[in-house]
Amino acid sequence: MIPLVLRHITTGWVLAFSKVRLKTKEHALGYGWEILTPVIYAVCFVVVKQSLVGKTSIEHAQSWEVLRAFMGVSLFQLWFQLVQEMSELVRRRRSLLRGMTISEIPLILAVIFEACIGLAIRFCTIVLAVFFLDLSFPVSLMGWGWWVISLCALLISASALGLVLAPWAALYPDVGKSMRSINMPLILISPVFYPATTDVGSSLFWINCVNPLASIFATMLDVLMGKPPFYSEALVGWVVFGFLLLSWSMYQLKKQIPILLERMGA
Amino acid sequence: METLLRVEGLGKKFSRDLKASMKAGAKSILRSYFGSRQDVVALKSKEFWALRDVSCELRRGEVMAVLGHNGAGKSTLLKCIAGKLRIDTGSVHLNGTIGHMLEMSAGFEQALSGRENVRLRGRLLHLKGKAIEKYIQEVAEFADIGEFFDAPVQFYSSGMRARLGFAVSSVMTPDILILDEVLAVGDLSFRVKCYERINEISRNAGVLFVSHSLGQVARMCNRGIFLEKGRVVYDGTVQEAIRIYQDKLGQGNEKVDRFVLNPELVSMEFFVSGVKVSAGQKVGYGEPMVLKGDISKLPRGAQMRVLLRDAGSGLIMDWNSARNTIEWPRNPTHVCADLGPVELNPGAYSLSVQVMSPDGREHLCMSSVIPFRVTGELLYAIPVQKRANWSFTV
Repeated sequence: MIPLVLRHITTGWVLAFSKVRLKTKEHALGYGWEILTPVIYAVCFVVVKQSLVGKTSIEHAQSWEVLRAFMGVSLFQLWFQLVQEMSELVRRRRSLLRGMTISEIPLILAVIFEACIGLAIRFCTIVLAVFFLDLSFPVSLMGWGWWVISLCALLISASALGLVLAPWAALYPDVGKSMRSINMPLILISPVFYPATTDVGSSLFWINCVNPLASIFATMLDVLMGKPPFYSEALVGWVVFGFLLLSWSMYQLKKQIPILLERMGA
Repeated sequence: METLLRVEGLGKKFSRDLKASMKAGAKSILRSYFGSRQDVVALKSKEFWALRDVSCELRRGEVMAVLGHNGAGKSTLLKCIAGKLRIDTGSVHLNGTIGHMLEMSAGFEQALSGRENVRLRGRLLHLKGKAIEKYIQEVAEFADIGEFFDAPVQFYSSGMRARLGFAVSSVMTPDILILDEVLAVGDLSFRVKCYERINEISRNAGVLFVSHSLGQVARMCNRGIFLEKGRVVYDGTVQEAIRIYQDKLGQGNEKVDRFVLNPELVSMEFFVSGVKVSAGQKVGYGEPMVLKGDISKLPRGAQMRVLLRDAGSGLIMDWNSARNTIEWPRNPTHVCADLGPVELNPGAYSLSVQVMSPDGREHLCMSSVIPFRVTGELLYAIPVQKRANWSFTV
């Protein structure tokens, strides 16, 4: 599998760039949407929070909450978008899959690479937000390492879950609808608008371990705040599990594409 | 010659019911997680075999026509070979690279320009640097769509799409080229260009070709298979495959009731070599044909047209009395018209008579059709093949 992936890296990038070009051509704001939504969420969060506590300026402790909300929404949006894009891969690329004899691997890589571009944009906005809110960056190399692992976990878990859903989403439109319906509950059970629990005995802790986003958000914020990452084991677990799931799904998809093309009217 | 493609016992079934089809798809997906494909030979409710026990081979240098009527399984066969459909039984062995054009869009991104699409396709085929520039150049030259090459594909006409699609599929010279009804669009000059290209490719490759245009098939193919209800009923020369196709088409034609209008107004009969032509009768090439009929109920000066149709009911020729200067007698009862020799390629045809008012504006009568077959040697697939008086000067 790894040699195959390496062989298709260039074509994956080419496809990703063609998609980026299309996106910038078709959308008036292009990649502006990647920043706009989390900014709106963060502003709303600040306004509501200030109204509730009756203060007019952001204090230092509140700045962490604002950053958590901004970072959480920003990365949640990317994660969810990646799951959706990956699950709709066969349906969206069916014309290409029908029209050419090509491997599905560059198509999968293209979705991941496009997400990488989105992630880079979000990373920059989060860095700007840290500056803007006058907060600190991780000082240790280990801290940055956890950040990298967190971002990798985000890409891998979303890609893996999306790819597992891909054949089913191509067969049943219900999959797409159910994904949209769990969008809000998922953000509510993730530590975006409240801190991640550290009570190992609580059920929320175990929900956070199972929730691929919780360990990512919690670890990134812990590192920024200079604390040891509380959910590091869950995070590493998701990286390993996600990687295995992704590899297995990539292998399966090759066999599944003719079945799906037939059902979609090849 | 080297065998490029071997199809053995191929079977493919479809369901007529959408829900059942989705269920079968879900089951296939679940099964794919646990192992390889198992031959499924039993049909479930509302399922039917689109292809059954199909076996054939394609060798280098062959252009093989896949003939059959609508629903015979031609396109399904090509899609199974191209790997676009999962097969239920049998196997497909490919010995070389495969290129195909199974549909007009040919996998183009509609919002990207032709050039961008070709570049993308080149990159997907792992072309780099000068090779990709050469590929784009060759496609642009072959497609010959001018400035539209740099316009989004969504603004292309169907002819332009076909040009670009054929160009990207054929420029790479695959070992096996699969073409499904792709030359139905496009102007004559482009089609001629495509024929030349296919001939060029077939010198060092194998081509699978589906078309309902027997002219194209006869011109380009050197082998043919005929499919009926998903089974191969003939595999051999293209001439024989065309003959069977026409024969089957003729059988269908003989069973169909055509539109008639006031048939009681005329009573016409056709005679070939003095023998009355009846439905399904066989007629030899070059035999003289005569029309005889009772016209006592027709108004004086009515225009009479004898219509000749091919097996697909396409009008290929007519004899119109308005082309002759006819002196109608005062009270004619019968008419006789010498239609000349039957100079038709072997196949199924039909004759009918249409009568118009003297000014040619009003339909007075349309007789029932008389289907017949022409026998003899098939030369290409042009229906009307006239003889000329050839002479030489030295």
